[in-house]
Amino acid sequence: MIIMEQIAASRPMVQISDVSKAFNGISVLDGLNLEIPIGQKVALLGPSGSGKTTILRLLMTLETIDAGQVRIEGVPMYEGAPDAPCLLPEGQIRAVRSRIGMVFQHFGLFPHLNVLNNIALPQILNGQAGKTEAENRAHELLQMVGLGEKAYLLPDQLSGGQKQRVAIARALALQPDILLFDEPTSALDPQRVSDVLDLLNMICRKTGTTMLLVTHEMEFARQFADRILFFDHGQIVEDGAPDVVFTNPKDNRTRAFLGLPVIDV
Amino acid sequence: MTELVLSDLLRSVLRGLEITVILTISGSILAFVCAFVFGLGRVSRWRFIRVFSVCYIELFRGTSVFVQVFWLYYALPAFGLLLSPLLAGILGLGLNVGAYGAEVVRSAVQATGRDQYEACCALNFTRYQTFRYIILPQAFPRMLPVFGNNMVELMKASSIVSLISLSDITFQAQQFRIRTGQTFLPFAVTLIVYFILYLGILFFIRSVTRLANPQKVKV
Amino acid sequence: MISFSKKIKKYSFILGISLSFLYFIHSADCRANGESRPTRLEKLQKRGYVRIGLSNEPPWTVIDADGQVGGAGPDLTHAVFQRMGVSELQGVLSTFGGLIPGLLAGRSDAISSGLFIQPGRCQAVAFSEPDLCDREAFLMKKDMPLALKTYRDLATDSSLQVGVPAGGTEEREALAAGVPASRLVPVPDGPSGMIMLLAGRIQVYSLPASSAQHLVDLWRGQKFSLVTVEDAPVMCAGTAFSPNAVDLRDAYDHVLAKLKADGTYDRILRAHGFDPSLARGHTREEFCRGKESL
Ligand SMILES: Nc1ncnc2c1ncn2[C@@H]1O[C@H](COP(=O)(O)OP(=O)(O)O)[C@@H](O)[C@H]1O
Ligand SMILES: [Mg+2]
Repeated sequence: MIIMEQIAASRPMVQISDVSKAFNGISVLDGLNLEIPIGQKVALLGPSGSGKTTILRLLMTLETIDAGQVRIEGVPMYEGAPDAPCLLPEGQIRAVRSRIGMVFQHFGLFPHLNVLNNIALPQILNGQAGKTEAENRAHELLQMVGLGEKAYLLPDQLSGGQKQRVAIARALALQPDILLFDEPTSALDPQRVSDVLDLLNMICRKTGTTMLLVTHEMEFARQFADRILFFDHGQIVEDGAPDVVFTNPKDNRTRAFLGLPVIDV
Repeated sequence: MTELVLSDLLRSVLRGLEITVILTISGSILAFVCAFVFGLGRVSRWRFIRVFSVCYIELFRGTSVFVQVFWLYYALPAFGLLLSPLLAGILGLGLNVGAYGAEVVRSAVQATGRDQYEACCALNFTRYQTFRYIILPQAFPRMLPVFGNNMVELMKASSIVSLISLSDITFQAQQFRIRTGQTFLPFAVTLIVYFILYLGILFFIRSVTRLANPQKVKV
Repeated sequence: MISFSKKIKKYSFILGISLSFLYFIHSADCRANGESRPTRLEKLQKRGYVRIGLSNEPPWTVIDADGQVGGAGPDLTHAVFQRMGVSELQGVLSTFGGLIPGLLAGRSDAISSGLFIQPGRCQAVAFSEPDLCDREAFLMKKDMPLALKTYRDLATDSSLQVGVPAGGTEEREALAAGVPASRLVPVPDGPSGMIMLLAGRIQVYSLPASSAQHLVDLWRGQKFSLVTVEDAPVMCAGTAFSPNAVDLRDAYDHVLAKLKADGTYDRILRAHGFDPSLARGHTREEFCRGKESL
């Protein structure tokens, strides 16, 4: 038993093996391999269209892969042959999905529910808490994200930054093991960006949750992440600690992206 | 004009009104149920249900309600199914308007943004939970104005039931004319009664709309 | 092109469904025709009431504000059925056009609503011997100096718009006399015909004399003149039965003949302003055969 647990603990939280994905015949990911250990905070950088969102979406099962396998702490998401993988049936995939949460660029709040219920309802529907408990927890989280007095407003009565903070609180309420952030500040007014970044920093410090963040805020990525992945055309061209990647990237595409002088080979 | 004629008119109108109201309410309830069953059936995951729903919707939208009621009442007995006139009327009106309603339900459900479905997936909702707690509450208010129009159409179409020996308000007005030779009076009264029914439906839909829409809190 | 053929597929599918539906109905009809029921009358006797298809056509059929049924047709039919051992008459009220479909669909056991016996209808239903007979009449405004006595007169004056009951026999008579179809205006019901006369939409309203008399009485304040048409044959209505209820019809005829003999028939017809002598000498045969009997 002890040995088994040790093996489990040594497993990566996310393991992407030989994953390919094409949209309408155009390949976006081609044989991608990536492992993320438990608790690591990863920032995904790279030019637009390089496949960053696609990676988050297939982890969230919003997209399915064409080939390969994805494992969450050793548990596979697909069955069947590796060249024709098939997402697990609804009942089984929900167990895996329950470990993952996602924050979208455009918030995805439920417009017909007030802020409190946006956060409380998912807890209730997932059987994590009763009504009172879920609401108490929602109030606590709102306090934490600095929106304690907005509980009874509808989402469209909030500013963009406030909406995104509610969306983050909603994702946190389900206590996932993995949190995915897809450009959480891209849709915000510049003066609201810092509210959300401050919140992300705080969560990052406070929890041991594994996090994947897609962002264009270079400075922030540097503070936030343990590890930087630089993508180009669906491939990881740079993978390393922030200080290394930002000061001395080895790939010219990264250098160009960061505005550093290109090295002649 | 004698008092006798007026009391005759009053009795006729009230008797006809009863039939018209029963048809409108029962027909609308049936139409509502059909709209949901077949509107959702149209976007079902199962092909058989989709095909069946499309057949129902196109068959009932593509033929006139007049012919449908006629069939239910005069042709079904050949199968040994002798529906009462009232039931035939309710079925004909309800099934016809339900086919239009089904398209309303379908488009309202499909008008819900993809981001809502994706948020539901990210929050690990089941399909049922997604529909019941997220999609339906957003789609339902969108359906209401059109449902209101459909209900008014059903009320107005209900006058075709004289074809199947139901004495609705239009038929009663017509009978009154034949008995008395008076034309202006019965049709003036009928006009007003229909308009009052229309206002009633309008009021009903307004109230439901108010209940179905989320309440904003003053900031 | 692709979406076009898709549409064709869709509609031919729907058409196919409807056609097979029709086929089933047709075969069900054939089965119903095949079997004979010698106990039809006994069934009615046991049930205690007969359902009679009616549309409101005073004085042939009169339905009051409370839905009570009266008029020459139902009263006579009621009397016949009472003699046959069926005490109660239940009216199945519909529009004139709904009468025969209702009978064929089994919604009523018989029609007694001033349905004239004519060859076309004889194909669809089984008529009794003639019961209510009537002449044709023209209704006009009194202040119109029109000397109209025949359908042929209508044909000669090309300025006349002629109202005829929708679905009635008058249209055919007028056409046969040479009145062009363009001058024939279908009239949905009596009061509408009167209003059309008053408004000048039609100058002549051709309809059965007893119906015309009833309308003139209703419009007692207005001045209408009623002329009996000279070149029109006497028309007779019969009580109509389903074609597979000939046995019931025969039993009905049997009793009808008795009532004609014992004076009950005359009494009922006079009470509603009909002339009992008109039916004498006329037979169902004659009307079902059509024109040559003229
Ligand atoms: N649903 C889709 N249908 C078609 N193409 C898509 C779809 N989603 C993404 N793509 C394509 O896949 C590529 C990668 O997209 P994405 O992962 O969103 O990139 P990033 O998030 O890095 O900007 C892009 O070329 C994009 O056009
Ligand atoms: Mg993206």
